[in-house]
Amino acid sequence: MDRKLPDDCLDQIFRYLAENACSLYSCLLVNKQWASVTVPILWTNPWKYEKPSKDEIDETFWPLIIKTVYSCFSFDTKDLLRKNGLDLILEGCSSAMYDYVRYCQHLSPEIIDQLTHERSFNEPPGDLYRPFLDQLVEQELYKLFMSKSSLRHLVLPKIPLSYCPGFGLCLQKLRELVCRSDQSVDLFYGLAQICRSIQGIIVDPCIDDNTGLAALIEFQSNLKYLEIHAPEARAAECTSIGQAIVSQARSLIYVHFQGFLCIHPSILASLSNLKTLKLFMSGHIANIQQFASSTFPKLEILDIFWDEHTPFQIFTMLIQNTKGSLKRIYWNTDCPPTNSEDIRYYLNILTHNAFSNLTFVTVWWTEDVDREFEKFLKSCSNLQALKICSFPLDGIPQAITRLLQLLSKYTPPRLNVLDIDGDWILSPDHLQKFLESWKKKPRLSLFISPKITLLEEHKHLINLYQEMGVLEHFQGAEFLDEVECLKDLFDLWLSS
Amino acid sequence: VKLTSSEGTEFIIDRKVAEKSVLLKNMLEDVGESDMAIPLPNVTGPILNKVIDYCTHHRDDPFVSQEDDSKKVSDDIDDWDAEFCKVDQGTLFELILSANYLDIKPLLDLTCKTVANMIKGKTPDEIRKTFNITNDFTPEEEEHVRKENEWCEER
Repeated sequence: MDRKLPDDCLDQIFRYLAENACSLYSCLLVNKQWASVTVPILWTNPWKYEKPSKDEIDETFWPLIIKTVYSCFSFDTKDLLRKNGLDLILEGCSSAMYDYVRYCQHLSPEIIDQLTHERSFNEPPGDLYRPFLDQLVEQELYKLFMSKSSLRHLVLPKIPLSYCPGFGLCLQKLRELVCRSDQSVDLFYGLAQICRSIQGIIVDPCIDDNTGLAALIEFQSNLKYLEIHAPEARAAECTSIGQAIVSQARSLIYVHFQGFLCIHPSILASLSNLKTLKLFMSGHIANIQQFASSTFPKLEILDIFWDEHTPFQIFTMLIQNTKGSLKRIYWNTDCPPTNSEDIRYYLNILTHNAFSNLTFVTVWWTEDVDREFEKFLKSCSNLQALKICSFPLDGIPQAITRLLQLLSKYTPPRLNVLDIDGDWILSPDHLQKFLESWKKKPRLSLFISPKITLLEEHKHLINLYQEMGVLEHFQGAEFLDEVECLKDLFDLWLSS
Repeated sequence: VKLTSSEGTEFIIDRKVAEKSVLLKNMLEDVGESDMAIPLPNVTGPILNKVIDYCTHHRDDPFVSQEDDSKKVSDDIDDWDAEFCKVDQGTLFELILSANYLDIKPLLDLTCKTVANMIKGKTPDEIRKTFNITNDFTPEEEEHVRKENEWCEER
């Protein structure tokens, strides 16, 4: 190297390798300077490199990393473990070359659990004191992380962390917290005293109101992301958490509710800076009219993953009340439109509300709404992904011919993801005509409902048009958000 | 805007091009328009020339702020940028240092991505050879670091 790159430049370079542990491992062994820059990157979240096979833990990962973590224990801890007969787990754990634990920013009870229980493989089975020893090791591990790390992401454990020396400094810069509403009120009060810059909170499950959690939410200076999972059968309305959410209305841009809407709809309506709203509802939304009149002028993403109860028109009204900034409207819903008039009204809203940013939308189609559908296709010129659901006609599959004709003729120029969802009759002949019409358009990723029967002829056509470069992907898919090759597309929109 | 490289060569560029550098942008905002050349003692003429090429090509790009902890990928380099980075290693490192000094984030990102791509898939020894780096670990130290981080090998 003619001129040595300083540490900050090397750091910038190595950050591009953060997902590539193997390359980082090589960098680590190049020389001392490279090692000292690589270690903090590699150890920010070392747990993410674990590659468990289905339902099994990664057997080469934990036994190796555990040795390094244990070698970071203080002399006193090692002494304490030895006095309790845990010599074996310290075997081969000399003093570490680097203070690895210092760089860890992610911690969860599952990680501690792996680090605690993995050692049991080294010990004779049937030890009556094992639960006691497990607890001892667990405590020492929490003490180790609390005294050395500065965590950014924490899944809150049940144990009272505030007793661990260094707790305040360790959690001062916390950015994301995953917790349960049934955790101790005092634990949350303790956190509220020191954590002020949490940007994301996930409450799973949210069963009861918790004044400590409410205080923690309220004390944050820039809370952006909130995810609440309230199981319908057990959840109650959370008044104080709701009030705390109102206090964060200025900064909250991403909200995800799952199960039961455990806050009053008026609270949701107060989040006027919201950019992403994700609803996965299985319970009734109380005061539904109030919910429908919510106005989110900056809303970009509306995902309705599931909703068994809310009438279709309620969401249509909600969309109507946004101010044209929507980029994605994605539905996986059990409450589809009940008549053609509903669909017509929805398509008219999409057409007339000047959604010029809309790149991904879910719509319904039936022959009755031909004209509206045509206008919609012409107006949403930036559309890149389109999900079209069949209109339920009491289980009778719909003919797809007319829909495909409309798509061939009026499709927006950048459309490259098409999902045909529901019950349709799709003959090989119609498929061929459609794919033929797509030849001069962007390569298409086509997804169809598993309900559509595919014959050998269909499969032959799909292969043929894939080889010709007309089709990029083809897949039978029930839910588009679960399709692996579209994951980046969903994540991209999520982060925007 | 006038700039002088370390050897004293003078370059005249548009203000819009100069403002791709946060360092220069702040300087120009502080001192206002002036005929005085801004000295850049850390940047040689040939390198400054390359930097100006880059900033001129990207003069109309919007300013993108990236969260520090967002995932960084290195396989999204466009054709012009890839061609721009086809230089000898010394030049590439000088470009990194200059982008860092002049605070031109997109150029720093591009050059760092290019080096990251050169590292990918190489063994420590291959990396040392590629970048002409001396291994200053003792064999014991190297073994120690290797063992402590064995968990991430082949992942």
